[in-house]
Amino acid sequence: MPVLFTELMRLRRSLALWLVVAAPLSLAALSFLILLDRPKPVSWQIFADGTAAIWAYLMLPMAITALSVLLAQVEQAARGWDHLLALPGWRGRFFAAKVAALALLAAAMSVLLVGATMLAGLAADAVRGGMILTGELPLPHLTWLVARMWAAGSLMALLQLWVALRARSFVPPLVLGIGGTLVGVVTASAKQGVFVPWLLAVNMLSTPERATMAMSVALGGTGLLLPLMLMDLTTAERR
Amino acid sequence: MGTALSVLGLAKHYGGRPAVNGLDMTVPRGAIYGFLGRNGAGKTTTMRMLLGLVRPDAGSIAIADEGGGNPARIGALIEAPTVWDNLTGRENLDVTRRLLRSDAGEVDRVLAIVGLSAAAARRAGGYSLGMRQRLGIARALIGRPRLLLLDEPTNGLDPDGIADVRRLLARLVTEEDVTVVVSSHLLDEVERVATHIGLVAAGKMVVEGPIASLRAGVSPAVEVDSDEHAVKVLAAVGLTASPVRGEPGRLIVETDAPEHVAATLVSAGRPVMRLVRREGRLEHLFSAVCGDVKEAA
Repeated sequence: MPVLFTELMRLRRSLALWLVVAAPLSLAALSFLILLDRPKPVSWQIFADGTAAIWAYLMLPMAITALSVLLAQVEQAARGWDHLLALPGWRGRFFAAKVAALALLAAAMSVLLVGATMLAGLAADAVRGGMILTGELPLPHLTWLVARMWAAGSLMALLQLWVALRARSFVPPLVLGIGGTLVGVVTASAKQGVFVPWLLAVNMLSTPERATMAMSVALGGTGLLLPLMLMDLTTAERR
Repeated sequence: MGTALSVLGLAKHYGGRPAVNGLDMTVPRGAIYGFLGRNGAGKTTTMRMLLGLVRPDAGSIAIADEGGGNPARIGALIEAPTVWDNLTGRENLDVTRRLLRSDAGEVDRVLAIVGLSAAAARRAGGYSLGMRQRLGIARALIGRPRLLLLDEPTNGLDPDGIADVRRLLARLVTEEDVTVVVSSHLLDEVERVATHIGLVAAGKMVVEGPIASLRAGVSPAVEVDSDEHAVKVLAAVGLTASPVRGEPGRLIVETDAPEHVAATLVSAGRPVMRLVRREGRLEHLFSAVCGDVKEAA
């Protein structure tokens, strides 16, 4: 636990924490503006699903890309690895803490997204005189959907973090993240989309069978790759 | 005096080129060991191997244990200090303290040692180069390591800061029973504080031992400022004079008789603008083994 605690400690006043707040809030703000501009009423459920779709298609992969780069740069900019990896004990714990920190930050973004989306809907509805959103507030539905998107995004997050920690420069993980997101958008409706890590979260909006398949790929892939990633990073030389 | 660190036949190649090439090294316990060599001689790679950051291709490293079979913890500052700019100085050190599970008072102790207590609450991103270097040394001291590896610890420090580090190293050895390996290109500084010297060239240890005995083996010399004819004049009376590179007119004459040099030059009508007797110093040893000292620096 001290390793995870100090990992989070090192994020104090960092850009990573700002990003955790900015990414979901900017999407909620966009949803608010869309609602204000909408000519006809829409159900809460469609509004929530629409926001979640933009999240899964674009904002989640881009935010994970940026977060993984920022988490890696915490050490690379500060020459942190020279110090941390020279400390006694198993080196893999520092990389495992990075994985845990990324998972926690992504979870925090998801929680903020749910709350901010609800507030955006309520605010827009109030501005439009209670005439724009119909039906029940879908808080449990959106919470469950975003939570599944978080879990389904785990494989993408692991791949992004692995590359970010392996590369000295931030360019390779950025290229991978942007490229992966683009491939995800292009292959969204294809059968193979269920195997593209950057698209797995989007599949949570699809049929139950496809969603289950995507979740299996995400969790299975994460379970397989995590030990390989830790082994690779632990044995890599730091010149 | 036992051995704190023993290295035998250490080797590391990068792309077929040897960075460290069968290096042997023995650091006595309680020593301040000056680890010297030109840039690219293999000092930093050796230190990285000692810390386990780089895997040796061959050789062995033995670090004395702290008793009970536990290897001594190594405190280190390699190349540049680890500094998280978004954290305060105190928070920076607290990260290391928590990872080492040291006492809460440890941060205040090391801050006081390096003289950073007053700036501890400031964000490290605003620290000067010298303050960052001191923060790096403070981090290396957390947990009271028995062996300290410091790679160019005076980089970026002003003369007062360099003197502070020198005093700190001496105090650590006498008061805290620490063994220090310090690599530096500042020969004068190392000479003032080191008890032992290891001189590495092309990845191999070429000279190693207590500084007093190494100094004793270095011939005294006379430094003289004259003109271009002085070398021939001195050679005629059997004195070997070598021009100092980059300093026209300055010669190093291998002799311990400055009056003989002066008399020879004056009687030959050559000018003597300056004449200084130099005791056997590390700089001369370094020159003899590695060539021009200034290039190394």
